[in-house]
Amino acid sequence: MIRAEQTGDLMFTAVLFLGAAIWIAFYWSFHGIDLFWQILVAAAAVVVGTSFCFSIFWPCRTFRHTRWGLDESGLEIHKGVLWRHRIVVPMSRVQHADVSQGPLQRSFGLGTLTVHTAGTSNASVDLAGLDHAVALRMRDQIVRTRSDQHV
Amino acid sequence: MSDRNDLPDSGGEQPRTGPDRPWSDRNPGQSWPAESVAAPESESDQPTEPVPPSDLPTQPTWLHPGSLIFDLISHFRQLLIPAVIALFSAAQGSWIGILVAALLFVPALFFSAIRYFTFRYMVVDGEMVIREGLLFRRLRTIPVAKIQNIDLIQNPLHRIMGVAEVRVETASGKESEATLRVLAMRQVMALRQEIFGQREPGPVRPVSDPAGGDLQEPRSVPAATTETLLEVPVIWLIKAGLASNRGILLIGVVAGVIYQYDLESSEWFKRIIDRLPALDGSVFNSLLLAGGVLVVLVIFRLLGIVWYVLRFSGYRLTRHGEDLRVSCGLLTRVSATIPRKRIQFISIHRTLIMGWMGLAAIRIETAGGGGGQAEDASAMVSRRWFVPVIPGDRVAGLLAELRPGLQWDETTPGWQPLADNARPRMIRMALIQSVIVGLIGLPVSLQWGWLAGVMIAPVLMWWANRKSRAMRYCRRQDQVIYRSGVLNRKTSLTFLDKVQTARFDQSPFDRRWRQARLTVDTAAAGPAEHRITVPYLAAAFANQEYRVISENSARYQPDFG
Repeated sequence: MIRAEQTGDLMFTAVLFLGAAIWIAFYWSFHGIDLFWQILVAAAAVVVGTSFCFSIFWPCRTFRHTRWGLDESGLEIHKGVLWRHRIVVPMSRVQHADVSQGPLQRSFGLGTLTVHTAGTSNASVDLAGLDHAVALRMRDQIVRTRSDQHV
Repeated sequence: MSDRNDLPDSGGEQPRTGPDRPWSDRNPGQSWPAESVAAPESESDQPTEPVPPSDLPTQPTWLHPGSLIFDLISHFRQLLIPAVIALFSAAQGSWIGILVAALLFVPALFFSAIRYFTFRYMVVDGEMVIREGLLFRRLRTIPVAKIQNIDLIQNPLHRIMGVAEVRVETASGKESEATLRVLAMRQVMALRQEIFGQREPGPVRPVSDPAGGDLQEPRSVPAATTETLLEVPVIWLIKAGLASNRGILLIGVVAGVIYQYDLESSEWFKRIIDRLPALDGSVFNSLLLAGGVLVVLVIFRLLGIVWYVLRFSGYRLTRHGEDLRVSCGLLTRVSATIPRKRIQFISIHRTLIMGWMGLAAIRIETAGGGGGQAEDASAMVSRRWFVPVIPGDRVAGLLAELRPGLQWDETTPGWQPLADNARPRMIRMALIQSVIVGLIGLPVSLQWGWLAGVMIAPVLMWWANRKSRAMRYCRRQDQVIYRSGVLNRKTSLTFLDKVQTARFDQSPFDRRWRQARLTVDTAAAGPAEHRITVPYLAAAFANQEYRVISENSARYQPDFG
């Protein structure tokens, strides 16, 4: 999960780097090297460098602060590094659950579990970065518990 | 047990007696909105013979032929002004006007006719089936058990013709599940009978008989008593109108009209505007200005009163077995049925002035239906304006009827204050805000810019203090209660079996102050305009409540039907 997040963030950094490079190249081709060009390069270096560091280290932090638990009574999720959230979805309130996979997640064999309730502000609760097989198993367990409780 | 199995044609038939019963009141047990806000002509063109079995929607049924008219009207409401202009110029013999009018009217008439001739509904096998469309056929099947409400809307024209617009509401989405525009009142009665009658426990009716052969059987279920919970006299409405700011909305409408019709360029308007700046500070002119402002304020209040009286005149809340029924309105009459167990959220609102007059308003939320913005007549009455005005001392009694066993007492101990350090934190936040305002002022004027910040600081601090004292949280038996608001005091409660998710959030600042925010989510679309989101609780207490609520609510099965 860390590696997927890191890869995603590194890709973001790469896009940032490319954008900055193109912008600077344009500026250079029109104005040549002047003071503003130097400031631009310095600023871009700082932004890309910070982004690079963050994309290495931030996913480790989010990983350490994300926890989940699933039993017969419900699903509980803790997440957030600075802004911390805990949410409980009682099993009897689950409307349906599904597992989705983005392209990056697919290449790392990960998946996102989404649990839907009938609520208003928390009508769907996401849990990203699960092992895909685990996510599928969790979904099946949730659906099974639901149907057991209902009959 | 209910009276609903008592069909209109099964012996309860009463010929209508006079002009004072605008609603088709064929069934003595079915005595909802029988009180009159009389439109005497509303009965004149109604047949008085008994409902033939063919009126029962157990086989494909058409809408009332009046649908054609009302469908057209609803089309034209959207393009009212071009239509009027086109008609006007067509009447003057302008070719373009006739052409535009034809372009507007003929397709609309055509589509209304198609809609009318293809629209069928029926209730069969515990499902309401609606079929419509010619090219794009649409077949909707709504399980009767999922139908939350059947709301009726009757404007004066509806009442003259003895028809009503019917909205079928389910728990899903923000829109009505189906709108039947329009049905004759006896069709409405039959539909209600069919839908609500078979949902009740008790003798199961063979609803699937397509020939309607079972309809002559006498129904053995005795009628449940209809209990009137609340009737709102006009004097309360006047008080509530005085307390409300509704008049300002009407001013907005007036401004819109002025803009729309370009009145500001008319001579008359210019003359008024020219008079306005003649304020040279003389006593007479100041008095004139003060008088003018006073008159405008009085008009605001009067408009508020008019709005309340028009909307809620003849308000009546009754309980009929497990269903609550609301009916009200002077010109456009609305009536709605809300099954009691579908209530997810109850909110008691009390503005400052209403508080002085000892009045309150109650809003409720049911799952789905009537989103926050959907201010249309039926959604408004049945949820947003569930009880528009009620004396404070009758709130407890009414709430006990909304949910059996609910004991409501706002003054009982059990209110949990916020964290001990919540007030210092809020006051500090007010100070920081004032400093920011002062800093923003500095670039404007280096000498006096900071003054604004200094001036608002005491106000903000006083406000923060009041706010921290108003916010209270309480969990009692199976209720979760939250109160907030300084001027507009809102007290909301929900129940553990209605809680969808529980949430505990901490921002970095919360962690510094050892506080947290507790959120309890319910399945409701928000017409109560209040949520149970309790900030500034002590972190340990919030965590404990979060545990208790999530564990206890997990034990209940939700019930939206």
